Amino acid sequence: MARRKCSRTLALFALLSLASPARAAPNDDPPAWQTVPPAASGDSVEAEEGDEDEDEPSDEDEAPTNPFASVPAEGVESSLSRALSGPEASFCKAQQAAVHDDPLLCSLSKLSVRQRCPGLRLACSNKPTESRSSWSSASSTSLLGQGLAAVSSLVFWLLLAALVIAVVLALRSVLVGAQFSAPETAKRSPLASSDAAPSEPHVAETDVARLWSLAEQSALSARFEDAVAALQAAMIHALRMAGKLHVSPALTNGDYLRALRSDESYGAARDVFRSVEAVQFGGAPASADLYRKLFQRVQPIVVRVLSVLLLCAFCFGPTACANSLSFGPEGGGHGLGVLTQLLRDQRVSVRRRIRPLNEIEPGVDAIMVVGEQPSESWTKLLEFAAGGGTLIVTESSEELVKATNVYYSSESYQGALSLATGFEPTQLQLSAVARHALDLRTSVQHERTYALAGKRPYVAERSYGEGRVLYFADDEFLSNASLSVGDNAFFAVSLLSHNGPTLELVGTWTGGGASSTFSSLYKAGLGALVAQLALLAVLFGWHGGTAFGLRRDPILVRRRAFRDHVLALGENYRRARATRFALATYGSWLIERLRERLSPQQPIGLIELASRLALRVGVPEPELVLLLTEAREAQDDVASARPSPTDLTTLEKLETMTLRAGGSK
Amino acid sequence: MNLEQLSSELRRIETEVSRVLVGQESLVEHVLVGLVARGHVLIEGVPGLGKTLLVRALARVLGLSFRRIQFTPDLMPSDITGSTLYSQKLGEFSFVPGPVFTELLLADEVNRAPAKTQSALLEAMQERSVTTDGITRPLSEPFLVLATQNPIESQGTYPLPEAQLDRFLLKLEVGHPSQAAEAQILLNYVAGFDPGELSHLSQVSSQASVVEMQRALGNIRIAREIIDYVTDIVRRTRTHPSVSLGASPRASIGLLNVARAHALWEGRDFVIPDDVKSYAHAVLRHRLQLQPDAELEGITADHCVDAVLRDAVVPKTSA
Repeated sequence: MARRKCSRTLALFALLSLASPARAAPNDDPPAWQTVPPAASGDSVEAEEGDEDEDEPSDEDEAPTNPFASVPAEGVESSLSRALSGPEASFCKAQQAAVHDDPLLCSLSKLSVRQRCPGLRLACSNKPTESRSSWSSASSTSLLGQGLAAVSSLVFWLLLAALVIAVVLALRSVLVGAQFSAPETAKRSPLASSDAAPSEPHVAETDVARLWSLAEQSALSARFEDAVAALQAAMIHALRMAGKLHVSPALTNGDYLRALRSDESYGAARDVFRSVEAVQFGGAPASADLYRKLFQRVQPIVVRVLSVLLLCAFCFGPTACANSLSFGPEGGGHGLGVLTQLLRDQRVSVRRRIRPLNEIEPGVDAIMVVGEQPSESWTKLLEFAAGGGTLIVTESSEELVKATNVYYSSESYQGALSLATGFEPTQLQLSAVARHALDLRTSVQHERTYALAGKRPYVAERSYGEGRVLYFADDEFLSNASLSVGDNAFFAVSLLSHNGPTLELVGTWTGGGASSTFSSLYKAGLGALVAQLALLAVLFGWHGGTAFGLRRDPILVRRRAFRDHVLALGENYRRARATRFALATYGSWLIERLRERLSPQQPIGLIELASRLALRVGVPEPELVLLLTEAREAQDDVASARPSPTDLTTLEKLETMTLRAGGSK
Repeated sequence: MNLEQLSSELRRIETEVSRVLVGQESLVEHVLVGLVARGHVLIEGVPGLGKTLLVRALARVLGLSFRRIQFTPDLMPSDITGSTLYSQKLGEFSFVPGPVFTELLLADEVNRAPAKTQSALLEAMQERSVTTDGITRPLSEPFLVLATQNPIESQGTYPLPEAQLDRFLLKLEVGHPSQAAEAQILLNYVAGFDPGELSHLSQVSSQASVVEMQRALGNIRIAREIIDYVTDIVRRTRTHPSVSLGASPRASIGLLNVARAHALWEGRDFVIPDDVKSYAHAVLRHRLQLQPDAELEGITADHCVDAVLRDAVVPKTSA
């Protein structure tokens, strides 16, 4: 078996040395499409007889376009140079290209074509001892990395624990504050609705760093009054950021001091407030000495807060600002970073498809499949191709074979690729280390072979429905390392850039996005944590029953009931001790109602009224005369007589009599 | 005496009075500030909190003359101001000064007397003089009226009219002492303390010193921003929707004077916003007349002052 493999390798090398014109080309030659005359086309390899038809354009009526004539060669070369020289192309750097254990990449580096990554060859040509030393250094590096990872993990959990504790403390302080201020707030709450008077706009700097800078600038400009004021403001807002103060334009320095009474910064704050108030309100001069003195008091407070902020920024910053991750894992030898960069330079929008393939948007022109996909995805992809899109595949699947009858055979190949016939006078130096070859068993219309590995098709295209499928025998041909060799980059870009302006990459990441918040949490592995936090919040709310934040009554704007107005009026009467006035007004009104009820035709006097009322209610007439007279006299002496407790009694009796007589209506 | 000496003397007075009036340091401070600001103080509190003891101790420590009037429904104005009587011995009419001719006057349960009698104090409090039979007689300096009233009883009482209330510079609400302070009161009682006997208190000040303190207010600096702050607060009481009648310009003047007096108390020669804010309730609460609706809602004048202070922007704030 080993012998057969060895002989096959030797045969491949022999074939490479015989067939490939690139073997003699120096590594730093310019691209072949620039140097070779257009007429030269003898390097293309004839396909096997049985495959001859497949290599030729199947639609004889329609002249096939040459995709290699539409892309500017200089542009691809410069883009390739930029992509390979960038820091992301780590495989191209000798120090970073730890590829001696990667036979595929090392085989590529040994191809006798133009190599643009000398580091790759250098890394592959290291001796075993060096490799071992490299391995040992890598091993030590790995151990160091593991140690650092452990420390990072520990720091992460410590910070997370600190964050949780801070949140708990903050909640506690809020809730304790709410408990103390709840009665007052409840009483004041009706007033909240009455704060209709618009407060004047008040804008002040609240950023500690800017205030600190402002203080220093003011001091440098000898404006010490502004400097000390800015120092004081920086201290206040530093304490606010530390959670020790609630800052409001309506709060005085005394309010702040009372809030800091049990804090270690109380003494410093008191001194600063006194000094600054003497300047602001007392006319005391602000000098450099005063500024220095206050600076020394404020500095520890502000620096403490800023240190915490810087620590937070240091700890969380790399996660938030990791720009280098954009190329990141695609920068290796097997990645697709270079291809992506080259296509983008050709104004092709390349994006990874995170959304599932349930519905492919109309704006997508081409889809390249990288890696294995489930069968339902292949169904959608083939539907996309049948609908007019371009499907680029680098790996076979059962669905693909059934639909297009194109097989991927396990025939390895290493060496030069040749352009198929029909693309003359284009001449390219193509090379590949292939693990598969294409097997186009049945011929179909609109079939086209672009490149051959030996006699087998390596890159081919077939129509499918209204669209087409572009086959690459091996996904490694489009990898970063492969594109750095010869004219592979130009070949790939030429084929992929004329499919349309939008190319999507479908891989293992496709369908991995979350469709909802819950799905996102579940996929991030945070479902249990969030559930625990939610449960904790529910338990906390159930136990404490306290709202998060200060409770305020809702603003009630409602029309008051008539009863409320009567009660308010009565309350005013009570406060004013206006019983006599109430008897005079309400008593006279009741007497008039009695007159209307008992003698509707003609007005009658009090005596007659008492007589008729006595007949109606059964109360002795003299008692009623006295009652009516008292009510009537109240109208005359309401301004002069002193209020008496009997006024209300009289009024009450009169009202009772009126009700017994039939009411006031 | 300079400001620091005056301030320390005020502190000594407070300390001395607090020897017998335990747990009411804030009340003593407010009364002293009112005295320095040449104002009168209305103290509202339930019986038994030491209001009379405060005034007596204050008179003793300050070295001022002290008179007390127990207001009753049958009290006559002349019982306060004094009256002209015919002296058979001299054969002429002579004026017998009433208890208002003193330096510290305690008007105990001032709301027990009818409005006519209460009004007898109007001229004395505002003009610091008494006019009887066409003759105006000035009162002594200093002259401080400390009136008390009970907040819970309403039967048989005559609420002070607004004009009378406006004459009081401060209205103080006396609360119950803390548990520790009450325990100290009991310890003093067990040790033989007699509220009627205050001879053990030292006189740490004098009439001249009090007058000097009152005159020193003129040296307290007031920044323009402070004046704007005071007027802003008072103006907001007039536009507050729960208030039917806001504070008068007399309240502004009173608040300013009290702020200066508090600055003197603190030993400062300038007023800061805290001086104004800390005395806003005492100066304004009895000058606000609430809407009936607000009263029905249980809103008090203190709530309105709180709302006003929440809205008023403190001058030169860092927020």
